[in-house]
Amino acid sequence: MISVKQVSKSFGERRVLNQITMQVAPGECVFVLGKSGVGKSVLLKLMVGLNSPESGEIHVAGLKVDAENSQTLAQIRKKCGLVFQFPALLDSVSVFENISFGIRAREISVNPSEIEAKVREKLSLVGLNEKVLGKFPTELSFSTQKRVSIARTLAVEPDYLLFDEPTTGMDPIATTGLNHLIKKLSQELKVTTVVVSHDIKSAFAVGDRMILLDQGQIVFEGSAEKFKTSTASLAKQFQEEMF
Amino acid sequence: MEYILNLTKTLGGMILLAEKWIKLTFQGKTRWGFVIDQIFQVGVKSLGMTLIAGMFVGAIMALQIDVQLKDFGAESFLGGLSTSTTLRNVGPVLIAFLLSGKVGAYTSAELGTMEVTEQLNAIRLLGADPVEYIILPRIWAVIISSFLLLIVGLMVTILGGVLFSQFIGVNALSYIQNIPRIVTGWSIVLSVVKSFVFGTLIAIVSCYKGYTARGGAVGVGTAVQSCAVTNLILIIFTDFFLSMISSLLQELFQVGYL
Amino acid sequence: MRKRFRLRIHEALEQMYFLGVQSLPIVFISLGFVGLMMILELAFHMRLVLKHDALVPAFSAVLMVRELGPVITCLLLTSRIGAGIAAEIGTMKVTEQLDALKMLSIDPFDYLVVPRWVGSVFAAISLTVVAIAVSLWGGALLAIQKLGTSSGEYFNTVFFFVKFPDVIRCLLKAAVFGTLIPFIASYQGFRCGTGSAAVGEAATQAVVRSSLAIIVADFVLTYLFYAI
Repeated sequence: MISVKQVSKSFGERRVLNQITMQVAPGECVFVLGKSGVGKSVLLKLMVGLNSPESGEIHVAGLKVDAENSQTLAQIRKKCGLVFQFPALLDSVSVFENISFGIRAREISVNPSEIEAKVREKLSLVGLNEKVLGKFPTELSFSTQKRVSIARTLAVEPDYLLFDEPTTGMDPIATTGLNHLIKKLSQELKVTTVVVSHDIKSAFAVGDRMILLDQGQIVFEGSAEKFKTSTASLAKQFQEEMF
Repeated sequence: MEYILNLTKTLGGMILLAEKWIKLTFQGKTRWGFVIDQIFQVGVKSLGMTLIAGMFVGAIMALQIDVQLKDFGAESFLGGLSTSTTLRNVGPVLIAFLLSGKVGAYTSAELGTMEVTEQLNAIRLLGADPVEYIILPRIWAVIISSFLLLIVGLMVTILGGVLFSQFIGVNALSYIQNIPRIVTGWSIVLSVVKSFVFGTLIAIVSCYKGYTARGGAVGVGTAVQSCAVTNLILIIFTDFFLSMISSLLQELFQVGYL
Repeated sequence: MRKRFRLRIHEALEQMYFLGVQSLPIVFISLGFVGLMMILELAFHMRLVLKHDALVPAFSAVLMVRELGPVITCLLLTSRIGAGIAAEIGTMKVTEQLDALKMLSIDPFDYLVVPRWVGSVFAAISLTVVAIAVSLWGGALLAIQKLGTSSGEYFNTVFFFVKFPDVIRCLLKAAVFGTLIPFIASYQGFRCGTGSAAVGEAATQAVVRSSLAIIVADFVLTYLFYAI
């Protein structure tokens, strides 16, 4: 359960989030849609305490997100996995080290063969060949890097999965694969998923619910069916994009 | 006003980082294997530059002091005086300037890149502390490699002075014989202390500046620049204060004059 | 053959302000301390060698004007502007602004390098003058306090030993160093690769190479001026 209560955030003069209130139920897959630069990514960072809101509160799994309180923050982060918009892989270590990093850091497992098994499992989950394990991030293409970054997040087996623009910069085939993966995780493993995106097609394919952000406020909230008949002007623009 | 506020903020941030560095080190969190890796990476890359700089600094000082001593009619002191001035002041300062450019800027650029590409955030979210995992070993690596490079550089300045003195027609042997008459043990201790302090400064400043970089490629550039400037100013400051402390100690305890 | 470069007055003035005036506080503070330090250190040496410290002000002033004044000022200037120029031009290359300039048929060399060169030479020369003034003044403070020289004595000996050709040579050095910085820095910027890592790399290389170039050039100039 993620609950966001009346959260506001500005950068300088620009108010990117204005009194946002939303909830994500356990096991639900919510898409947050909107044009570029409306503060969608900021919302995700607020949820894991990488950024602090000016007003309002966010609770994740019943715990209040507070960047000052490092103990609860560590507990919250233990439950969450965030896939960044850009891969954010550690340049100085290999792909294997990258994926196993979280397993070691969170002490999920210390047994080397167990760690290796987990890494291989997640790698096949994102559809990558085991040959990449020994390579360094800079040797890989952008779309492969992004898949590695998703595998790295999945490796810590989070209860809450947050995606920041997962399909940006990926080819159509990889996009479809990723959509299936997100759907599978939320349906089979009951992972609570929040996807920030401007990819309306993925949202229709995968999302249980959609939230449309415009000028710092929620202009639409509801299912895909309801979205098709929405009269909000931005929703109409997105509909035109789709059909 | 903003200038002073920024300065306070930077100094405060660096002191907090230094506190964390000492605390984590005493908790035994340093991964020494990685430190040694980094020392090789940073140190070996900077060795050539340090050697060249050392040679030239030594030669410049020998030449300049020679010209000046001739003006004052005291050229018999050339070897000792130029070596002593170079070891105590000009050498550590100039070589530390270059190292702050090489080692410091390299470290701040690397960390800055990690920050703006969200690698540090990724580490945070995966449950590790970036200060412990990334910064701590780098601080130690920069301190150790800067210190060693400074010592090597200072030795090379002596060599540079000797070689150049031969070139301008001063007898190299009398130049060398003159060195121990003026370069005291105290001076050598002072230059070693300075080297260590400068190394520590470069490490803290560049890690802090890289760690706090924000905003894409421009942010990395800004971090490198402000790292270099802060390093230079702090080096000049501490150089003066260390010299002052040394001269106070000498006056109090009458040490240092052989 | 390439056409003669055009000087863009407006950009050049902007760079003079940006590179020169904005570096003033740093140079002011730092060189003040260098002045203090030289008196302190030379007092130690002179007592050791000559057993008296009457020549300290003169010796330190000559060393400041001939060597440390221009060298330390320009090394400060390098770190202040070298990294900045390389990062700026590198960022422009990464974001394809350089190509955009070429498409507008503006020569990047005229538009970017020449104004920075003018600004940097201006900055180097004027800051060196300020730097030496500040360091002499700082030296005077300490000499009066510690060595018991009167201020009249101090400046008398300084002006007796620092000759006019020294000043000219000092400014020449500053001009050469001021030329080296923008050319090396913008060269690093123009050959910058892609991505934020490459910009950091270019900035680093700019600082390192121009600092090293300044030290080598200082040696060559000192040799030409004083040994031949």
